[in-house]
Amino acid sequence: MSASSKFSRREFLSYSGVGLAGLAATVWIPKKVFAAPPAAGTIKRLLILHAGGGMRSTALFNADVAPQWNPYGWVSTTDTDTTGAPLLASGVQWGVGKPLVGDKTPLTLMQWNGVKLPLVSQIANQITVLGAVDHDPSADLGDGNHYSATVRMCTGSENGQNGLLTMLSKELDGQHPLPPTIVGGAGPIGASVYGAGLGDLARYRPIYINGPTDFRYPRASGGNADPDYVKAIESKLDNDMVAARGNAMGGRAANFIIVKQLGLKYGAVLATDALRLLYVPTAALGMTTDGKPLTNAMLGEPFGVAAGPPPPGFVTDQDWGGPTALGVRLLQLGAPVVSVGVGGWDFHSDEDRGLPPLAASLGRALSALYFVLPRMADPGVPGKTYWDTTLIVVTSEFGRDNTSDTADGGLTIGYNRGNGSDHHGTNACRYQALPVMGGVIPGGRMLVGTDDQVKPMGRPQVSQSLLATLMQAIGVDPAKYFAAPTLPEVYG
Amino acid sequence: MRFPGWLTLVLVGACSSVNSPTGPGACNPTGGMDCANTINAIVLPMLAHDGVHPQIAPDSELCRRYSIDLTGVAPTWEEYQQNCAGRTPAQMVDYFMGQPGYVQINQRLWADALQYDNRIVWYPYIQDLDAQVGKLYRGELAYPDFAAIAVTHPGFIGKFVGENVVAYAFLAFLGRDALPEERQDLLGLYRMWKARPNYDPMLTRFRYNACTTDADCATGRTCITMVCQSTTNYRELYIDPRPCAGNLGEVFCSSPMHNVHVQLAGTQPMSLDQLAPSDWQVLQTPGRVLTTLPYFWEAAVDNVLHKYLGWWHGGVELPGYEIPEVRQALALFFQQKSGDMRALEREVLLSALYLMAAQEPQGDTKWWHYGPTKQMIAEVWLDSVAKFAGVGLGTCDWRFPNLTPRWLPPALVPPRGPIAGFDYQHESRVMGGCPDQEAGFRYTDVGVLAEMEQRTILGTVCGFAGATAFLPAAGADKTKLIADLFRRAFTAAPGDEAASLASGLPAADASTARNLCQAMLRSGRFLFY
Repeated sequence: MSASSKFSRREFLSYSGVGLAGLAATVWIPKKVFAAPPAAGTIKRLLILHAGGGMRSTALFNADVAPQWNPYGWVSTTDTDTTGAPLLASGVQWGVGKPLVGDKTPLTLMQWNGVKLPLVSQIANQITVLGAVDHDPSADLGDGNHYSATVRMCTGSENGQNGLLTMLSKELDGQHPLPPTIVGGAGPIGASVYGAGLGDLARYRPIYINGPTDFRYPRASGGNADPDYVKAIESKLDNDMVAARGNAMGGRAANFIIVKQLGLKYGAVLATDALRLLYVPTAALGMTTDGKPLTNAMLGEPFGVAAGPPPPGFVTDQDWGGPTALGVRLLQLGAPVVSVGVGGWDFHSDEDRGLPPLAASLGRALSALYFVLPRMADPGVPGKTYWDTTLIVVTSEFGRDNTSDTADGGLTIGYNRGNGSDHHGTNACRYQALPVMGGVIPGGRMLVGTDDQVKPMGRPQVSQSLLATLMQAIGVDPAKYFAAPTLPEVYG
Repeated sequence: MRFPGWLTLVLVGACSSVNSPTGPGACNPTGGMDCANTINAIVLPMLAHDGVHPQIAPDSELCRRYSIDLTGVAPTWEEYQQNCAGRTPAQMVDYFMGQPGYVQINQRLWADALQYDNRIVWYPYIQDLDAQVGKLYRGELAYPDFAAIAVTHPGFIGKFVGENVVAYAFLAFLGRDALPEERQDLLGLYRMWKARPNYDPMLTRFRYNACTTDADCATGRTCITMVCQSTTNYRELYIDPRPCAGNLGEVFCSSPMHNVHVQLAGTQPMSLDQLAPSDWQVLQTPGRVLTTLPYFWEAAVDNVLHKYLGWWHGGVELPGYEIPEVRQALALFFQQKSGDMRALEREVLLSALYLMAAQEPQGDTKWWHYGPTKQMIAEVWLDSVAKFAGVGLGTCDWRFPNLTPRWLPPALVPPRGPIAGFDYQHESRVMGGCPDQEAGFRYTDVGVLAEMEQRTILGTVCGFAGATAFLPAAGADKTKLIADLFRRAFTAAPGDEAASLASGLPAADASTARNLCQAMLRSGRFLFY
């Protein structure tokens, strides 16, 4: 245990009085507390970064724990970057995992007149961490099943049928130029579960985009220019199909007509070259705070997105940078909520090689958000930037554990036999450390930390409460969907 | 690359049992559907109880359903007349199951379940695993044998790390994730599998810095054409018997839950082509264990019912419904047929649940009261558009999502179609198909972006100068144009509305036909079947 952030965090917890109180809290009793958040009316947008596959959050956002739970170490106050500058911001109560930081080299941004992009540890005082997010505090063990845990995280309950973005899409219907949108994370253990929707909510499912590569080619913006007879015949065929089969596939066939109408409605918005981040570097959308058009090249650079001719062959959206930058563009275009999903966190083996680059990619995306958003004027709120009006959170279905399957019981190795980690529902898997950031969030705090064995030193935050908090933040009363209380403490 | 012994392997021991179902009531043949069919024996009494009188759908409707389901593409009107008109459902099923497309569409679907990814797994491994799927659907391999081979195949094992080998084996063949203790337990049976770097001259290498001699290059790189390049370029799987040798190895490489362990003779690592058939039988032990677990047969039945009925076990995106008695009876049937996949599929394809017309009776919301409606997957939609237009659009090889020469020999890259710049893989991926199995997986939805993509694609394809197959002959009238395009798109003639639709057309010319191509193929009537 170092004498740096580790001690100060424990000290903070003991001073705050939640440590001992939390130890006594063995039964969670939900109560409805829906007071307006301190930041009511300020937050206009949500950006949810979802790490599919089970992010080892003890290696990233609650890093000052025993080596068994984080073999990578954490950034201390004495560490420096490659230029000699302090690697850790001051006043940070949470353990910043070394994998988040990458190679410790701040990047020079040529599109931004040579300004340096700080490393994520150097802006850690802008990030607050919910230190012990649990799906069900009344359970004996955490949920270690990818599928049910993803459903819990994204819908708020084990058997949830509607994801947070679908709920918000319904509640905010028609109020924005774009509906809630998901970028990446297809499949049942990805961010797309935020867009699950059945029954009456099926028609409100968000737009799904694979990632920046979806915009490789220009796309038709709508059918308003079609001759009338084309519209008439297409409409008749659609209506006949709905009349005959509208109930099929849970009403999906009927929803198809609605989606086509949405395609016409949103088509022009989605056809903009500003979404072609990888391919049209000069396309611009919005202004920076110093009055320059924000081009794709400028937006992409902090995120590591190199715009230019389409790269040959296979391109994947697996890195965090491109999808997150695309998420920013979608927020600019009017989507009130964007969920960016990047999978690949399920490192049952070779985590020692696989996790660091993926974590560094996430760390850079967080840094880039903190770099870009305060430099983007919010056209809807004079004098404010996107940083002031956006709430950002990172989620996953669970953390990682089972590092004891080793010769030394994992005490120092911190991996299983295959240099990986698993998800058996014990503390390090169960209690996720999830960061939140944005202008309305006082940063640097650890809200309910854990001891070095990842045992919560306070009442765990319930994942449903996190969803309720996000819903409330964007101006929707969460009582309609969630029983769990919100987490007003995130606002300080 | 061949792996001797795989083809001749015969596995025994698939012995999880299925209880006989109890019938809900007496079955009376009705509407051309007999009670010998396993599903009918259960469902016909249920329908009768609900006052539903099932009728077999018109052969044009069935023809389109069979063609899309069994060959992955909608039929032309000519194909309908030749292969379906006046034929019985059994004749149609036999015809379509005899087409190469039947094996291929199922290979595509299994590629999703087994998550082929040639960036991680050496392409010959995937080729061979895909060939095993082909055998299953040609009736050359029983399902339990296929399961045992698949989950112990380098094309599968190479994809997953640690416990995920067990987890994804469970998902593919039991329809659920493995419990933590199950993952730990069966992991011991995979301990002899190892990986090492190797070199394949058909693949390119990673390139690094400039050089004049090997001395200029770091360890593991060699100087070729003045550039340091990696000496290895793929991950070879091999077998190392040593971790499982001796008394300690017997414990280390065991499954206490199932009371089995794996050991091979030998004291040195062995490449896969050195293994004898008896070695493979040992290595396939975890697969054989899988086939004995509860729900093995039922999960296979669920997969088939979901594929052909759509509503069965809807999944995360859709509501689901199931008839437990049907599953139970079909699982028993499948087991009695020794895992003959073609027999199982045929039983479903000739059942009332599949044969009924898809027209929903007014106000009847019970999905099993009428025939299935499904949505084309992206590749099927694209291939059907191509067929309508008479233009090749290319394809994506389900085995190899990664087309770069670093991971795939150029000779295996599918050729493109004649439309300049048309990228089949990309277009399909935007609509949820051709998944890279790495960052994205298959989805089938009616999203805004997918709908916009369809609009863009159809603007290109229907307007392509080389797309002439659907254009009217000189002198055709508007009513005939409507009728011809209806038949071509929907395998059905228009009803009474043909005249009124035709009256709205400006002319019966090529321009009108190209516009109608877009209108018809954009419609839900084309997408859903």
